[in-house]
Amino acid sequence: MSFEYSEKVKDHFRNPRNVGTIKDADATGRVGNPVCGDMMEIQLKVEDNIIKDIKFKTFGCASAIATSSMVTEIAKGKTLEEALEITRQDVADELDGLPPIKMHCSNLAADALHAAIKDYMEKQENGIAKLKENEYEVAVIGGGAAGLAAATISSYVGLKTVVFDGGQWGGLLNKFCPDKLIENYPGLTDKMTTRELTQLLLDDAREQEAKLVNEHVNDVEMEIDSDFKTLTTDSGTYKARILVLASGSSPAKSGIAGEEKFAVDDGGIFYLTADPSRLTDKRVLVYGHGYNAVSAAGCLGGIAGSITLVTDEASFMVPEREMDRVKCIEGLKILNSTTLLEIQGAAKVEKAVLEDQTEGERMEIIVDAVVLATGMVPNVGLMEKLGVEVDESGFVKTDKYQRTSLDGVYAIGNVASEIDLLVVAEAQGTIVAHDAYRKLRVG
Amino acid sequence: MVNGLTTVYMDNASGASVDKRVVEVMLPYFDFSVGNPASLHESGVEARKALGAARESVAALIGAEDKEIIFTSGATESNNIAIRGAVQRKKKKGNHIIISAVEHMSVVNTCKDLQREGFEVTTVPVDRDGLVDSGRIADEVTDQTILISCMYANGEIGTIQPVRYIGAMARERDILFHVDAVAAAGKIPIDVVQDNIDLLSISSNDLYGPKGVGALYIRSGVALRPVMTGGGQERGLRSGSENISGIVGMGKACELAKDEMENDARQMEALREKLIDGVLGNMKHSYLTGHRTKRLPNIASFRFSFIEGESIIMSLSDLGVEASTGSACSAKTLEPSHVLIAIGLRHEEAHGSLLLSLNKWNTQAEVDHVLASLPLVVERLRALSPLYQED
Repeated sequence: MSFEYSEKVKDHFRNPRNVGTIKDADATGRVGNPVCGDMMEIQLKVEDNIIKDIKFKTFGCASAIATSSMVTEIAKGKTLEEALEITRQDVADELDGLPPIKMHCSNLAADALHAAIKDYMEKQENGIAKLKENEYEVAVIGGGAAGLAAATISSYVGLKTVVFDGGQWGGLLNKFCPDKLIENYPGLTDKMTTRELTQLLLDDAREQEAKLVNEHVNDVEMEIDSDFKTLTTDSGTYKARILVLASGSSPAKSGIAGEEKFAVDDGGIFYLTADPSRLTDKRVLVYGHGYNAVSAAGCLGGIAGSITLVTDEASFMVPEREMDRVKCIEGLKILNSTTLLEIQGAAKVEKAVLEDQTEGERMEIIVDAVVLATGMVPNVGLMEKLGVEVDESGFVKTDKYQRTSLDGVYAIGNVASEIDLLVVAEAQGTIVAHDAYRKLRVG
Repeated sequence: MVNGLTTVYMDNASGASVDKRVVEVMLPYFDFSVGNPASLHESGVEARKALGAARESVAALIGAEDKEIIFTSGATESNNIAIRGAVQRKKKKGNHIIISAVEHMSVVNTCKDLQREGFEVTTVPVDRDGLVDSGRIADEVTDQTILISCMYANGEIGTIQPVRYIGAMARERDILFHVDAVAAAGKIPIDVVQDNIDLLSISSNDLYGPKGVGALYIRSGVALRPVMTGGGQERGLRSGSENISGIVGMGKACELAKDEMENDARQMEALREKLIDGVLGNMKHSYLTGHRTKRLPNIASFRFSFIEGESIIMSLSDLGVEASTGSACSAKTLEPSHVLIAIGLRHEEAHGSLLLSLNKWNTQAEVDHVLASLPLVVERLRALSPLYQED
């Protein structure tokens, strides 16, 4: 095969022109795929619409390298419009022809050049080239599953993206039973803990080059007559065209008598069970509703001395298999239709007063700790002052693309909905990234 | 000569030079006086004798008897006669063929063709070293299985297969066992009796004999249906006047191989080891393909990350080294080698493959030249590659 190449092809293969990369390149075009055996990357420096500098890097056979070299020679010094006219055939002709089988598979150089020029033109139109260091296309507040998904996919579609979180990355993933296997994520079911998933989400975000800022956003301002929103953290200000609120939710206060008194360090009241070892050998009352209460009890199994799982509703309304799993925990007792009236004790939790709704009977149980899982409230915080619309439960109102009532502001995850499912949070983040792309790039 | 250098030829798996001693014995057979072995006159008798002597030499190389050898036009024809002939003959008994995932295209495509005729073909995978597991083959056997075909050793990655075990398993189950021994013959000892082989293909050129000649061993008692019909030469299995000069050459090549193989192999193995150590020890992101020890003495096969094989071959050629690759870009089909895919390489990995196949004349100095040239080539291409980032 190799000996069918013309002398010009061999020359450009042996001594390729314009190899390398350009620091501060104005545009990059990449075509091909290593799987197919050819990949080329062409970078441009453009001044006054003229290609001032052009460099390439190519993985591939001799003709792939020779055509890349040749196309840079032809294009250098041409206007962008002239360069767009260069065809695969022109490149092959300049090389005194290519073997027929190589005409299509290894003659992508003109395509790479066109891709670079289109990249340049798009950047000009979108003004990305003009974005300053602290200016972004997308800013995400909150680094939980929803926020990290939004940041990763925004970066993936090519939007310059920053994501903020003042606490631990992963949000609620790290606050409820981080070592429990995820059981309701299609394709991942029972294969991974939330702690491991958090790490993968972070790896993805970094891989896609989203900027991760481990700081609280203290303030957000929407300037009139500017499509930028300004975000302030302790260390500086950031500007972004699109704002994605992914600030999650926090455990609600239950309002039960005694809660205030013991909801202090070492008082014996817990809302989350991020570190179950703190309840080792303790007699624990878990009180609340739904998944949060049941999974809190679940991850204390084998750790707490005894567990009393109580709800004031007729049941926990979770699938039977979830209940079956907690039911077999040794030393666990379940009370339905039972209200927690009061938490009592001297300096720490010592006793819980319960009332059986059907019998109207009161009972007192001795406990060392109470875990309250009575509900979550969305962290709307910063957005409230901007006037974002919320629904009767306090969640930020969104449409099917997760757009809020404010232009260029999205809300995803637990701040926008009571559906606290991981796949949904990630899906909402992904939807936003694609909608933001359409808004900023397609128009 | 390239850049004042004599070319270092390490593409012997694609085609080897003919030993001068072989050429010498062939020359008289181009003479006018050499007749057709079928003729009754004096010249015919002489030709017949020469044919018989060559048959004995081929048989001796593989531990067979001379009547068990037929001559063909090469290994592709041997494989076709063996596989098609066997299954057509046995099709009343069953319709199932088992082959390994690393067979030569003359086996793969013959089986594909038979599939269109209604035969069932099972391809048994190999491990990352290219080894077939005889147990895996046994698992695939059904009451319909009539033929197992597995090569003795692979010429692209060098891996030597456990044919003796596969043969024993096949014999026990009364299934015909065909072995493509093109890459192995003359490089490592073969004994068709101990290895329990029923049909075995070899090629003359891979033994430093002339191109266009091959042989097929057919165990005494095994019957094949001819795929070619005609004058009934070669026990009716390969009709057509014998290529007498070629066959005499192949006979001589086998005779030399029998006498010199041990010595040649030891010498090539030392060079192969030097190549493998030199590449893996000194070049980053380089990997051996095929088994580290169960390996033909003449095969040093590698892959290099981030670069493409045709570029490697072209650049090496500029430095006076001739080798080959399994990259798609060098193939007529634009598909990477099925052998490299079978050992689990991703396409982009297979594209970066390099095969250095030695002959008995390669020298230490040539190996030194390759080891000095290869890093220059790989570094140059990596500097060009967008996939490579210096670490």
